[in-house]
Amino acid sequence: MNNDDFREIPHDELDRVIREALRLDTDTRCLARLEQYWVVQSRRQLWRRRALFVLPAAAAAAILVALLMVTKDGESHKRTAEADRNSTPVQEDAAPLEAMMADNRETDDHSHSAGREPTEYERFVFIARTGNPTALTSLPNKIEKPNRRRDTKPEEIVATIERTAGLEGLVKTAGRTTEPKLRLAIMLRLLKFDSEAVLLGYLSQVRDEATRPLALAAAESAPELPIAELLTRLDHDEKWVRLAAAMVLGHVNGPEVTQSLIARVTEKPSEATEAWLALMACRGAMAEEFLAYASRRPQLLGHLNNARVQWAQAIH
Amino acid sequence: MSGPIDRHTVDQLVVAHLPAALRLARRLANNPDTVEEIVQEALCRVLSRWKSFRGDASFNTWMMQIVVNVARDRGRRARDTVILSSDTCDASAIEPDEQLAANELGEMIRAAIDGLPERQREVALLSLGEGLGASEVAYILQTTEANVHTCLHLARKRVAQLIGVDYAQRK
Repeated sequence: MNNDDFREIPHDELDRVIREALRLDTDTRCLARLEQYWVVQSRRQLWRRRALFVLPAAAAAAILVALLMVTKDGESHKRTAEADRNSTPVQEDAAPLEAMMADNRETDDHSHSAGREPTEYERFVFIARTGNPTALTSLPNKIEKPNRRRDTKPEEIVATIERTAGLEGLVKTAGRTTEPKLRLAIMLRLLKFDSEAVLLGYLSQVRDEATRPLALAAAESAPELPIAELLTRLDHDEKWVRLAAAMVLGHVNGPEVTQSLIARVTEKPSEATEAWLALMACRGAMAEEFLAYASRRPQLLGHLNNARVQWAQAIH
Repeated sequence: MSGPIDRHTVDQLVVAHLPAALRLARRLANNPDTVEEIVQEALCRVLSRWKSFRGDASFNTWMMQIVVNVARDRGRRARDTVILSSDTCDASAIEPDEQLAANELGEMIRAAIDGLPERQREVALLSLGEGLGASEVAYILQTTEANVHTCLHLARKRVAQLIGVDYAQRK
């Protein structure tokens, strides 16, 4: 085709020439980048659309959970509320245990609540106080929220609980309350060991893993710990009592305890497993020397190893 | 295609027609540096508007309309001196005379098209470059088919004059 052929050209031919001139090959690299761009943007849009649905749903779920937690928290506070505020005529209305201990969590709301149903604990205390289950029907349906006292000591609370709910209520409160000062006060009261029930109540706190640390710490800080009572319990019929007593003795340590334990294991090495356990828990130099001595004595080594195995089983 | 389409179909259609959109952007942009940006912006518009696609034209036509609008918005007529060059042209190669002549003719034609008024240029690129029909070009440029035919006639005449030929009507 020469230029003369273009002098007069039908538009079909002209179109063909123009198309040929405008022909472009595909830039594959650019195309690949654009495809990737599309994929990325497409996914982003999908996520944005999902977020439009998910975020409000998540917010609604979070609000619902928060409401449920607030409701539950309110009920749990009611359960741990102090019992029988009407025990003495001149006694001011006792505040719930948690409220009395949490001075630093006091709110500005000092007004009485609109009223609420008595909790299970309050019903229990009311029956215990009156001694008449049928008296429950006379319990007012609404209990006014009492004024909160800021200066109530834990010991007073413990005394009130013991007076109204007895030892059992005291032990229950120790397990339920989350207020550390109150729990410690309860432990110290139980450590007086003025009765078998009180002693076993304390040892039950040692037995419970949840309350064990605080119970042992209370034993350390108790002004007069009845060591003799605990040593006697090393021969108790129930194993959990023996183990709990051994834990307390080992934690308390001290020369008096160590000497007593050494005396027990040397007198009757085969019948003093818990005494061996207590000795192993002791941290003093006297205990260490004796254990080193026992490890060199064949007649004592076997009992020592047996106690070690049982100790490992007991604490795990 | 008619009626609303789903997201999966849109993905497939976009990928299928992406080469044509890229070609069109390369023709309209006249500057390689902005071609990819034009297509990217067009893709973003496709993402935000695909639900409004009612199927009154083919997806390819609808997507090309977006590309044209983006190119317009970005001021595709930068009036730089870069002229569309064919990818088949390799300046370093020693070409036969015929190929050289064809390349020169192609450059003249491209320069001629680049010099057309905007509407005529768009019609020429869409109709002759992409091979779209008059109805599709009318849809893309939001004009009538009659206007498309008129613009195409004028574009052919102008190109013919610029390359030194007499443009003859169809006999």
